[in-house]
Amino acid sequence: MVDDLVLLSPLLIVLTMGLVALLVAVFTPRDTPKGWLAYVVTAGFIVAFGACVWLWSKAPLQFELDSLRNALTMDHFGLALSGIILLGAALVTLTAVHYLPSQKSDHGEFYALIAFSVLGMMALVLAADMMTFFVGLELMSISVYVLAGFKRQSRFSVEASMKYFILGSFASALLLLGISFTYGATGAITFSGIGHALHEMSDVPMDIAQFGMVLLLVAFFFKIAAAPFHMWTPDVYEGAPATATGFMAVGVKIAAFGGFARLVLTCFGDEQFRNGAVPWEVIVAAISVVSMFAGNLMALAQKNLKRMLAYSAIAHTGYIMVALLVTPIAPDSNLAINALGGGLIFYLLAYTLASAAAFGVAAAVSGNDVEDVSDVSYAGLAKRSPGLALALAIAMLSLLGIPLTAGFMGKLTIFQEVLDTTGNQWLWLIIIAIVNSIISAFYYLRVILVAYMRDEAEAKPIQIIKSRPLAVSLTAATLLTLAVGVLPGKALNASTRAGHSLAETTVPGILGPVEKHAAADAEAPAPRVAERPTTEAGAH
Amino acid sequence: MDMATTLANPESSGSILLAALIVLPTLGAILLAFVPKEQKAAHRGIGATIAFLVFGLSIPLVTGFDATQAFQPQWAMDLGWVDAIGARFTLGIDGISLWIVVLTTFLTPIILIGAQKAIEHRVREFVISMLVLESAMIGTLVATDLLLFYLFWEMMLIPMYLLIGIWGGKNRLYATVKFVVYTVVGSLLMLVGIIYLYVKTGDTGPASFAFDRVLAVPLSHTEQLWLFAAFALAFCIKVPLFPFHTWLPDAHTEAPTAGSVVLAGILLKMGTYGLLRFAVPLFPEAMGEFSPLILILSVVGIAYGALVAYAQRDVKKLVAYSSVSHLGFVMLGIVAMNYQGLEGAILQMVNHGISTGALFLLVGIVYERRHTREITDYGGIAASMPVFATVFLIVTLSSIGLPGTNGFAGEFLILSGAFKDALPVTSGSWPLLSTIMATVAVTGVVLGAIYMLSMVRRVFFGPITHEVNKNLKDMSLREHLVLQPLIILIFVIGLFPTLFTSQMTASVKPLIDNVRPVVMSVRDPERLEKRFEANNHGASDPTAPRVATSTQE
Repeated sequence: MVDDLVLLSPLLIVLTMGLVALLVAVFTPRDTPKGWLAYVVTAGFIVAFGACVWLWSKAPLQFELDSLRNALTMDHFGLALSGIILLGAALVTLTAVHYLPSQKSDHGEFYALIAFSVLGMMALVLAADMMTFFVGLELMSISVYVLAGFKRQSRFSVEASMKYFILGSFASALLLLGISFTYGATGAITFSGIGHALHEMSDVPMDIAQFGMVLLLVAFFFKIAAAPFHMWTPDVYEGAPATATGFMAVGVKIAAFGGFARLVLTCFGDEQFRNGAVPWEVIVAAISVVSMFAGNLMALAQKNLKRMLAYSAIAHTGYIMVALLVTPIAPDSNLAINALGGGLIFYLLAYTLASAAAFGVAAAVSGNDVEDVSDVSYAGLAKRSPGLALALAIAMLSLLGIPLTAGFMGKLTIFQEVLDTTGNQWLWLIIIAIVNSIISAFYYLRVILVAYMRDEAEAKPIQIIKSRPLAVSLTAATLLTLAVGVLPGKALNASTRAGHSLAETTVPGILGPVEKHAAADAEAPAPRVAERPTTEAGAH
Repeated sequence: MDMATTLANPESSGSILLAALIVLPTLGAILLAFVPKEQKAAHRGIGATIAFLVFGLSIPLVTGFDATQAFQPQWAMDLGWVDAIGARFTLGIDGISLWIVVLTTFLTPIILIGAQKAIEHRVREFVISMLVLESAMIGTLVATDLLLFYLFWEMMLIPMYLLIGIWGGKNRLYATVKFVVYTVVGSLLMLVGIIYLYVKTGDTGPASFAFDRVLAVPLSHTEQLWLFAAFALAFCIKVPLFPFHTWLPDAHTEAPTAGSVVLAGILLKMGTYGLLRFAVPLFPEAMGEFSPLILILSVVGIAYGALVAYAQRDVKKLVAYSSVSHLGFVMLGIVAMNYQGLEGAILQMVNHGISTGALFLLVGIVYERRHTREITDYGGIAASMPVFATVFLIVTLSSIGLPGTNGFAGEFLILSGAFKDALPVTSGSWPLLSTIMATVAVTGVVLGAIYMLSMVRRVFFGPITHEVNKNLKDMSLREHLVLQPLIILIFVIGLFPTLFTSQMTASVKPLIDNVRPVVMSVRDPERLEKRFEANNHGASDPTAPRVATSTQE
């Protein structure tokens, strides 16, 4: 029992921080500054991150959590994603310290909601059965609905919150329905139970199971903002306060990808099932292509930084899905593991760092109660604030995938893993992704153009928020982006290791033939301290 | 006989000279970021000092270069970088890259000093951009790992984007976006090619980006065609080969003098260098298939560039279009694929960097005084600026290839290389095509003389038509310091070209010995038997250039 508490320490620390923040918010006068709570919560995130790293270095492949009846799996995959989420949340929380007062919304509940949402995200990526999965997802989502509407006096913010809430509830309903159908078909509620049932195929009504899977996928596409389930994204990203949007980009997307990657691969990874009436990789491939084109083409027309980043988030969903897609198709599990780890997790890390920096800058230029981060609010930024402009430029280059940034290494690993894993079968998908990268050059470089080359006189007299914690957050995100881009070795090893552990905790034989699986098992390097994600250095 | 086609097997020589050349400017740039931006003089001084230091460091490359070593990159170094994907930090230099590297380190301090007056605002950003650009350019030239090469290749993009976009002319935003879009389109397609080759190396051992491993990958005829297209597109846009040249006049016209010099002097050579270093040896069959097209396009570029240059009223635009014409000559030399052609092409890359770089500097000098580049705003200024007029005329003569100047040496070698394959005309379709094209290219030399000399006449000679031009100041000491080294080089290369070409011969030889037979056999189906010969020879030697397996039957 005590051991289990130790194992759960990252979650417990975050929970405690959330409760502390909530109590402080309730029992202190409304008009006292609440910025200090941000430091408390950030410190909590960093300690939880440290706990994740410690568990990572100590972990066998998978801890048994008897007292929770194995509702959670503490494996490297979940720990790596938890680490990325905590890192992103810490970076975003720091940007809120002076941003919230400038928006006249300095309430302590903000930090409590962030902490609860992070707790939900960690539960989501560590979940091993459908119930934990759903609870984690709802805890995350409901907190984020409130965060989106946190600027109560703003119509846009409230509208964003309502829109997100209504569509999100609809997706949750579909998810529940999907869970029910899957349960009805397989009689199992744990991921591995469902996987076993579908693998062995003994009296499982396939059509019902597949219908359940399609419902789950739709809920997944909604949460990660994949086209054509993306309609909420631009409005919510634009309307919500910049820090809340940043949190959505770095948190919700990572958690949804992580949780659903585990769910889909463990439950529906079986080859026979995949080749049934509804081949899910075809669905994912189609959605991936639609997302890339919809996101990039719509982003071209945007003049508002936050709205542009919303469409760019849709496009990135498309790129990341390419990595998810090839995993089960790999001829042997070793390759699958590489594709999942190197591609998916590494890309999520790169995306988190770049998004945290981009939204940090968006928050910094929104002084004086500004909501509309259009060209005029950051034209000539390089002259007014070289540091902010540089952080913005590096974030854009990383999102675009220019070498020396983490984003380039992320794209490179995804493309290379896809070719490596599946031969030329999906070459066309890579070419589509590259064509989309070319399209994206227009709007990412446009941001740099506005920040560096437009005249300062064009800008509205908007005060840039001078904030030391925001500067710290941007510096950390930028330096990490460059560090991971120049020397990606450790981060790549760690993410490969994490992918490996997911492949090992799935049902033997699901990902490729059993004997290959065993071979992959034998080659697994012993977890060493040296393989910790490099992200840890900057968070401290 | 273990012969690699070009740079191969970079075994570390223990020297960190090349790495120092790359790292030093970047370190300088980081240092400058901490100097307060008001201290413009400090930025200029530190920037120029670092650039001089880098030039000084690069001198041992010339003095210590072993011209007899063909297949081994010199000053090689090999460090682990991203072990997880098999990318290594490998550098090396050979006779093909040597002079372009030295040209880079030589031009950068000149550009920094030359821009002292022209760049008045945001000096810190300017010097940082130039230094980062220098790192990237040297890195591109000495990388022997494909991923490392690509990394430096893309790293060149951002400083150039800023150089045009911040310090450029009125229409700079349009020009800089156009420049970046053209470049990004090409380079991302090349990235697909690089990843494809990388994955292919995984068939024979751990996948790697190392150039010699990539060279050993067996590729079918169709694969070669597609991959060559992906690589060549990136390089041809950079060159720029007609019809991909439309970004160049815009970029040159809008860029500040420093941007134009670095663009014409070094960046354009990255295209021809990449073609020579990667596209040709990696895909010789495809080079054979595509060479009629490239030949025609480069000659069209020579003639078209010259004719359009003749029609220009803006001096800088005229020089920009002359670049299209001159780079056409370099391409012509590469397509010829013989000693004269290749050595002439490499020499002409250096020549063009010196002559056109000097021309842009000179246009910049007169622009700083009059703030106009229209030819009609000048006329007769030889009377008020006699020294300037003399220097301008010398550079003009070098640009049009007067014997005794560097331009003659390069163009003569290229044209003799182009004609070498041409004759006898009746022996097949390829000789016939080469003859026609080489003949047209010769007229390009004549056209070059016409547009350059008529521009010089209209700007410098005749009566002074504008009052303001009467009191123009002649060249200052700083301007002399900037231009005299270039003038000296014009004559040194022109009078002693073998000093330079002799360093190239050994590195060009493997291209002639191993790649040329394959290219020629594809060009000329009648020489098919020679191709099988090349194939049999290649079967026992893994480092010899490949012949597609699909066409063996």
